[in-house]
Formats: sequence, C-alpha cells, structure tokens
Amino acid sequence: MKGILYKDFLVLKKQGVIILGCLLLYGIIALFGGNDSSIFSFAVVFLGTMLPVTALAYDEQAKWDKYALSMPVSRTEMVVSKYLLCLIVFAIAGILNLSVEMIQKKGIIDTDAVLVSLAVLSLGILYVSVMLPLLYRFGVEKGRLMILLVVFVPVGIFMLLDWAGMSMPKSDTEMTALLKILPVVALAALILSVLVSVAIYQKKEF
Amino acid sequence: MADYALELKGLTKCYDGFTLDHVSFALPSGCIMGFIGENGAGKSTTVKLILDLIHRDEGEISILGSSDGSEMIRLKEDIGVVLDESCFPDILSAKSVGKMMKYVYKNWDAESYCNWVRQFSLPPDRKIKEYSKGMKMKLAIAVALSHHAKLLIMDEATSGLDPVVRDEILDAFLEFIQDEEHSIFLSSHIISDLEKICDYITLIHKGKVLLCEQKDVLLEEFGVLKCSEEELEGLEPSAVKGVRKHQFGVEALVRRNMVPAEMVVDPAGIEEIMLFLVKERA
Repeated sequence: MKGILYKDFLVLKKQGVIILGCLLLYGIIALFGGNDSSIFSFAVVFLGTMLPVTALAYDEQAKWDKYALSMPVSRTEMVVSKYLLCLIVFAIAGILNLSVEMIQKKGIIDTDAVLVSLAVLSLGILYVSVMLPLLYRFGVEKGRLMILLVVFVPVGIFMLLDWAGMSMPKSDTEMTALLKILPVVALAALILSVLVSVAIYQKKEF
Repeated sequence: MADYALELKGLTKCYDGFTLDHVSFALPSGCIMGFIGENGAGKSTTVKLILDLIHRDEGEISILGSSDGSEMIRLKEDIGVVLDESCFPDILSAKSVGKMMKYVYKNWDAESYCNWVRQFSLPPDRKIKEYSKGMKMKLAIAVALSHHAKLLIMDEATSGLDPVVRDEILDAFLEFIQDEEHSIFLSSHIISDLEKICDYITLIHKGKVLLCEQKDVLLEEFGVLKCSEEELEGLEPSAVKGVRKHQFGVEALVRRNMVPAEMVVDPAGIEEIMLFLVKERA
C-alpha cells in the first residue's frame, strides 16, 4: 500500500505545487483582504478534493489498476490508499487553515475558528465520501458528472426546505451544535463510504 | 520446489459471445511455455484469470504449487508481470518507478533494476510519456526482472516491437531462465519468437486448448506432406491433422510416423502447425 500511495504523490507532485501556489495567493488575500478567513478554508478544501480525482484520472488513463493488482497489492489496499490520500490532503489543508487563522489573529486561536475549520474539513470529507464510490462505480469520466449532481442536489434540497418555510438554524447555539455534529457525521459517512467502495472494487474486472 | 510453476485445470469464463472453455495445461518448473493463438482466442483472458484481475466462473489455478486464493497476494511477490501495454502513469520516469517499486515488492533489487535500465538503454529521468512503445515494454520487463521473481507472466510482451528489441528481450528471458527454479509463461502471436526460446507450446483457439506439448515433440511428430488428393485419401484418417488444397494438389499436416516411408514429408514449423490446426476448425 505504501508503494501505491507513494506513486500517487509522485503523480500529483506537479499539480500539488500549483495548488499550493494558488493557496499561497489566497492566503495572502485572506490575510490582507479582510478579517474573514472562511473563504480561504473553503478554497483549501475545494482544491484538496481535486487532487484525488486527478490521481484517479491518471490511473484510469494508464490502466494502472490492472497492473497494480498484478503486484502484491490487494483490491482493498488499492481503495483504502485513495482514501488515505484524501485524508492526508485534508490534514495538510487543516494545518494550512489553522496557520492562516493564527497569523491573522496574531497567535490567538479561538474555539470558534477551530470549529469552523473542522466543519469545513468535515464537509470536504463528506464530499469525498460520496464522490469516491461514484468514481469507482462509474469511472472518472461519468463520475465527474455525477459529482456535479452530488453538489447541486443538497443545495437544491436546502433551498427547497427554505422555500417550504423550514427555518434554518439562526441562533449561535444551534449553529454551534450543528458544527459539533458535523465531524461525527463526516466520520460515519467516511467509514460507510470505504466499505461501499471496497465492495464495488472487489467486483470489478480489469 | 513445486513440480509445476503454473497449473490450470478446467478454467472457464463466460462472456457474451465468448467463452473460455475448460482451459487446462501445466508449465513444469524451469521451463518456458509459449501460449499461442490468434487475436481473440482467449490468451489475454487466460492471463487475466491467472492474475486474478477477472473472476473465474469455474476451474482451478495453481501458481508455484499453491492454489489457495488467500495466498495470492503473497504469491505475487514471486511473479513478474508484463502486460500488453505499459500501465505506468506516463508522467512518471524510470527513476521514480524504481523508487515506488521499492515500497511495493519486499524483494525489490534496486541495483538489478538500474542494471536492466542501463542495459535496455532507457533514459532514467525522462518521462514515460516520451518513451517509445519498445522502451515502455522494456521498462515493464526491467521491473518484472528486478524483484527476484520465480515466474514471469507476459501477455504479448514482444508484439509491436522491432526485431532488434525483441531479440534483446528474448536474450533477457534466456538469462532469467538460467536459474532452474525460474519459469516463464508468455503469450504471443509472434510465433517465431516463441519458437526460438520455448520448451512447451500451448495453442488456444476460440477459447479452447487445441494443443499442449513440448516444442521438440511437436516439431518431431508433425510434418507437411505435399501430394495429390488421391494419395492423401490413401492415408489413415488419424494421420492427417489438417489439409490445405491448392491448384496442383494438397498440402497436409500429418503425423510423420503414420505416413509410409516413401512419401516425402517436410518439417513443419510451429507457425504452420498452428495455421493448419486452426484452419481445420474454422
């Protein structure tokens, strides 16, 4: 599995550098542009989710999986390594988030900032948890279309709920509770997602 | 050491419009087996089944003496694989492939890999994207030869390459097989290559094994008889394995020992044997 993960990093090196460059720019904008760094958090996570898709696209293009599976690598390892890749990317994203936050607040980190950071990461994990099984099931080409649906359907549902008159959490306590629940939901979704992806991948023929 | 490096028993896989039908053969340790057949005969399907890349419907596969599916991952440490296309992401280089393999194979031999890369004159820092097809194939072979594998499995490893490169690769195989524990299973439709190096030939046609025999036995046993149709009818039917009619008479693939001594029988190459046998069943 180490080898597979190592290969992903080699493949992503170039794009990773470009993304880090972008983030540096965003970071500077966030630092000097205003006092709200949540846009930066979103940028980090959004760009972070692009990396695993790129890795999968390269794999698919090269028909890498068929070769990788002829090496001493199990199908489960193939799938789990992609999730690990996502988690590592998110861990880096989280550290970046907090660093910008710290620089901006001059070394003082309040719990709110950590909570927001965590919530954004959780959203990223939720997104990846839905995305990867789709990519494994439909391939990168079709999977990408599905991802658009995945993004738009929840937004649509929320808009519908709003329209139907269901109240959005307004008070701070409600919001904080929601933020606290989010990581738990994300973790559960992640575990479920790994299981689903492994099941899909086991059945695949190359 | 297992008697057979690779043993297939009744291997079956059904697709729409194609069935790999109870394929059985055995490759003794220390030998090279050539797996021949026309395009779509089932060669790649068989190789994929052996490597567990697709799921079999029926049958048994035993690799290096073990048929236990749960041991497959461990067994793959001892197998070097070259598939019909280079499957490395093309933004890697030979150097980075080597670094990666260090983490993949327990027995990875970086020095041996460097030697093969040098011997095949592959530029280590250039991206695989810029490699020619022959170079990509050589890279895959360098990887397959650099983790102390006991069995090489190759699917069309030499097709699409020029004669010079093919010859280089065949030399590498012959060097590999010097160790008597080593075995090679290679599928190809370039039969002249196989004729040069194989000990055993297995012929597959429309998903069925037509023939699995030692190459020398085949060459000894079969011959091409050129005669008239009347003469051919005079022969015992079981002596004739395939017939090709033309303007001036017939050519037939025959068993040499069943043909009267006064008739002239020319030696048959593996390619001719394959053509006769396959056309007979067309």
